[in-house]
Amino acid sequence: MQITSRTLNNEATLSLAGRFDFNTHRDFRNTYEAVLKTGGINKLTIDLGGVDYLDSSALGMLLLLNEKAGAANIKIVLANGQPNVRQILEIANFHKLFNIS
Amino acid sequence: MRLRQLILSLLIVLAVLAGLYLSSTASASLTLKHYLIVVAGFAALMLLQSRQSASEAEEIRSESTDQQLDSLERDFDALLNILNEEFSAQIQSTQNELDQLRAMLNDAIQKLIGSFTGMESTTRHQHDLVIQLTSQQASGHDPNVTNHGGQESITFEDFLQDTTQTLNMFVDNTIDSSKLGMELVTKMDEINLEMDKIRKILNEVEGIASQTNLLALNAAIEAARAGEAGRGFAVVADEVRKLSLRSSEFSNEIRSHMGDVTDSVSKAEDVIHKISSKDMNFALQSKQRVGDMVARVQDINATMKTVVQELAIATDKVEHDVHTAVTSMQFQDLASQLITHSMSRQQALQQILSGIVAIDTAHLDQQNRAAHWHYKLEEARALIERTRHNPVKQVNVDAGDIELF
Repeated sequence: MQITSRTLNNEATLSLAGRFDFNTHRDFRNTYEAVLKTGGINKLTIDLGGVDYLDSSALGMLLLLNEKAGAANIKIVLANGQPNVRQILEIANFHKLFNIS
Repeated sequence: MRLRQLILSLLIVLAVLAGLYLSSTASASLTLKHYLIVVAGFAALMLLQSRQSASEAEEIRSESTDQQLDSLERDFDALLNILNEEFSAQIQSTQNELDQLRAMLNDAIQKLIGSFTGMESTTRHQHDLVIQLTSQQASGHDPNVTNHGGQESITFEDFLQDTTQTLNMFVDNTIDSSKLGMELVTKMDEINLEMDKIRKILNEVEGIASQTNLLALNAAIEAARAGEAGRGFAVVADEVRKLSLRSSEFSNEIRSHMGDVTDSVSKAEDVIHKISSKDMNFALQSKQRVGDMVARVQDINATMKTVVQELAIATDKVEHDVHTAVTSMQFQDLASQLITHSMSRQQALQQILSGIVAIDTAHLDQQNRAAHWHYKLEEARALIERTRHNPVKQVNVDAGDIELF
């Protein structure tokens, strides 16, 4: 799993590639916490374009991120998911909690 | 006899013609003329004689014909009696048979009507059962419909809805527990960070102990150099060294315990890893299956609807056919009437025949045969006329006139 982050104005993007699962949790959390600490951000896009698999722990991580971002008034967008990833997000009812694009 | 009369008549005519011819010509002699007249007269005499004998013969023959006629009449009357008896017997048999026929017809048709009506009612019942069955299946649309047991009926739709709800609940629970797992892992990382801080502090403590040990060692050396005066200080230095050693031991003990804690946290993380990492494809597959099932159930419902509609049409047709059949069966009434009429006609025939046989001619002069036969004929004609007005209704057997009700 590779994670890259970039920030442009008040929008940040985390680009993920590979398997999004339990083993990713430390890197993922460290990366988003670093971004959240930056301040001045109101939108965080998680680019799932490179993710070919995600499991329930990834969904749990995204929910935790959503809670933390919500507390900081930052909107989370889940973007570019591949069909299998989008199906899982849909069955988890994530469209009610996230902006999925 | 006739030939002789013919010859004689011919002779008379010839003689007269010859006489007339001779007298007209006047050339013939008188003798010949007279002779011819004599011949004619003789011939006429012969003729008369022969006629008389013929009428005598007629009289004899007439008596014999009377006897023959009497005999014939007796034979004829006897024949009539035999005919009457034979006809009576045959008509009686026919009437019995017609009675049987009427009874058979009545019985068979009542049974047929019963059978047809039963068939119709069974078909209607079958139709009702199918409707009941399918309405139970489709009652998901109507929560008020309950089955005979009083329990709420379970439909495919209900079942699918429940399954979908259960699946959603399961997915939610899986994700919630994963989220909790990830929270726990975060807390454990925090614990590990705190442990690292404690380890740093322990390092400090160990450093202090080590320095204290060194200080105690130096103090002991200095005490030894002071000789007798440093003896008390040497004891203190030794105690300080012991304390520093104990402090080092405690540090090691704490480090060891912290190693255990770190191991436990690591194991706990492995457990959380297993709990939190659920493949989500199970949910996708289940959802797919539920979707397939919904489609199949919709197919089945559609098929059922069509079948029920076709069944309703078939049932209506059976009902209609049975109605037609039962209506057609009512020809039995007419057939029965016809049989009755037929029997009445036979009775009329019987009456005519018996009447003719019974005509009493005893009071008539037996010699007046013509009057006798005339009387018999007139009586018979009157009898036939009377029976013709027998109150048998004229029924047209033409099928077109049979009214079914």
